Amino acid sequence: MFASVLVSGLVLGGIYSLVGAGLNLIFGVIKIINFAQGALLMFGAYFSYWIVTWLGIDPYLTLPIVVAGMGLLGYLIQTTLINPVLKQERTSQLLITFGISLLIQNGALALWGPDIRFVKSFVGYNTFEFLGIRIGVSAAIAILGASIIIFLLFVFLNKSKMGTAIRAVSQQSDSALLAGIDVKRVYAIAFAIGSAMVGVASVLMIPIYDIYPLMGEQFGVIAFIVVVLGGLGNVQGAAIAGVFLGVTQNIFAVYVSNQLSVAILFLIFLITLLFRPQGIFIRKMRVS
Amino acid sequence: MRMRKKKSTSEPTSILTIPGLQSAGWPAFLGIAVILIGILAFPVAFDIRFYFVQVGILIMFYATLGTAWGIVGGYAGQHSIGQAAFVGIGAYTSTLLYMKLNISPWIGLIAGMLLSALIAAVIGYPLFRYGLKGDYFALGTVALGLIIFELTTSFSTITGGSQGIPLKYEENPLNFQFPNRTVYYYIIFIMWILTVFTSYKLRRSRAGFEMLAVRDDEIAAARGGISVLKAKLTAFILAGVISSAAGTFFAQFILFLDPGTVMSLGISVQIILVAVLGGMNSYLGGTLGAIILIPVSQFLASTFTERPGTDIALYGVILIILMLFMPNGILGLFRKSPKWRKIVGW
Repeated sequence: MFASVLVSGLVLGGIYSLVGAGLNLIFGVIKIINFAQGALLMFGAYFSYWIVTWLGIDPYLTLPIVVAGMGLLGYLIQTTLINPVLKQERTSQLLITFGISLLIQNGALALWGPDIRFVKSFVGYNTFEFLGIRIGVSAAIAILGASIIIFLLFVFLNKSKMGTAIRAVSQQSDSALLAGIDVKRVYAIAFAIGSAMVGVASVLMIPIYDIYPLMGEQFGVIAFIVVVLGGLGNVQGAAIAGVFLGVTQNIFAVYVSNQLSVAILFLIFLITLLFRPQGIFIRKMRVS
Repeated sequence: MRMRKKKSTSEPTSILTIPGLQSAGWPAFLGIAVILIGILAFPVAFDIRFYFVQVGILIMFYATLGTAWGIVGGYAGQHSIGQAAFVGIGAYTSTLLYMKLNISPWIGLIAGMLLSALIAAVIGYPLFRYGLKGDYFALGTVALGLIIFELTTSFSTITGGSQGIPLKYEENPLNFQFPNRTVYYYIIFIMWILTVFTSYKLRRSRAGFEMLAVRDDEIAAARGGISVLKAKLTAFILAGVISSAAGTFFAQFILFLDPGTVMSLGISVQIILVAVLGGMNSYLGGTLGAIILIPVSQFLASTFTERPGTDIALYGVILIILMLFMPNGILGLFRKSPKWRKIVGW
């Protein structure tokens, strides 16, 4: 019993990690809070859903298209909407991403209606036994996929040239500019990666979770908690915090109260803000 | 010499007195008088449908909320994204006291305001202290809005949950319930005018200047001896208290309460849009924004009933366009002219 609760908590945690790490990358580099992160998750899920419906392929096979599409969308949001207001007050940036979130979420509601949709993958509801625990194949794919992507992000940020540029911009954007880094392009790429990670999360979750216009709202808000818990700008911290919150929420939902399982996360959030506003990890304001 | 001496002795106060409406002279006062009489006479002078009175009530309701948001978002520069939480606290406090304990909503109004002040202080303190950046505050208020929403929905035995809670109707002014529904128009009028007056006075008071200083440069303000935490908290509490009072009014007006109508994210969005559209740094911003946006939103909501979400999606577009091209709102356009600047109180 507990083991299967743990597994489904890990799935949820993996999704939180991807969404939260993407959000934190965007925050760490561009210094804006992307309120549209949850709406982008929902959009990615619908994106995948429509490809599955039109082409009749397996949801997991839509991954490259969704990731590329979401990355492009993120790139375009940054270059057309955020870059023009970088010099303005922070309000403008905050409220613009908020406006994007309203547009995407309610646009989906208006276009596709409030119906709950779902897709079926070739793995279906098959399970396998591992160390005496019954695990759904789709759950295993989600946990494994999220871990691989987080690992790849870590390698990219630390080993590649672009990753180094991103870290440089996140630490000192003025000095990075002096060193010849095209800061605005780095911003756009950071937003694209943050958005593409949401795309990964959406593909991994749709064989397990329902698809509906408000599905992203909860994930978007919990991504903020993930970010605060992991430390603003700390991508690794966010990944760990995401897993922690997913598992905590699931255990609480099963053993205490399902209705209050989201409220417990907010409680954790408020306690973190009270006692450790810089996050539970020591390094802060650093990407990677 | 005498003049000079006099000037220097009166200086400490003169720094804090900026020319306001007085400098605009009698045309401004005449204009204000005409507008106020027009608003007061509106429901009785013409034989209009109650629907229009209702739109007037909604406009003043959102004008009150927008003006209150302007205090924390505009003056102090702290963007509260979950302001509807306070509307909900006000509405549910008075309603639950009335329904469960039979306490008059007038007392519930005060109780809601006190509770809102307490919650604003408890939430605001950790978010503002240690000079945490404004981002934390925005995040924290989103969380506050959602936690209050979730709790209200979860504790359905007390609050009626998502089913909502109908208010019993007993005609008695002591119970905030009147035989003639036009009375609500005048009640919200009083709330609105008090809020605008508070906002106007605050802008010209020491506390108001401290908020502006904190907004414009927190470090310099702290160096100048201003308590940054106090300035932000005052603004947040004041906005919360006013929003709570408006929430109590709204519950009594619609006589039915569920989490979706008083504290959904959509309400918070509407409050922000109203303030941003009008110009959040001016005491008139919320009012102007509400006059423009509420009729539009009524129209959009009734036009797109088959496609719910369209109106809020359009709000999103409006918000993006406003932020890209007119971040200071409509009244912000007047801030370049020295004469108008005083009148709109930028």
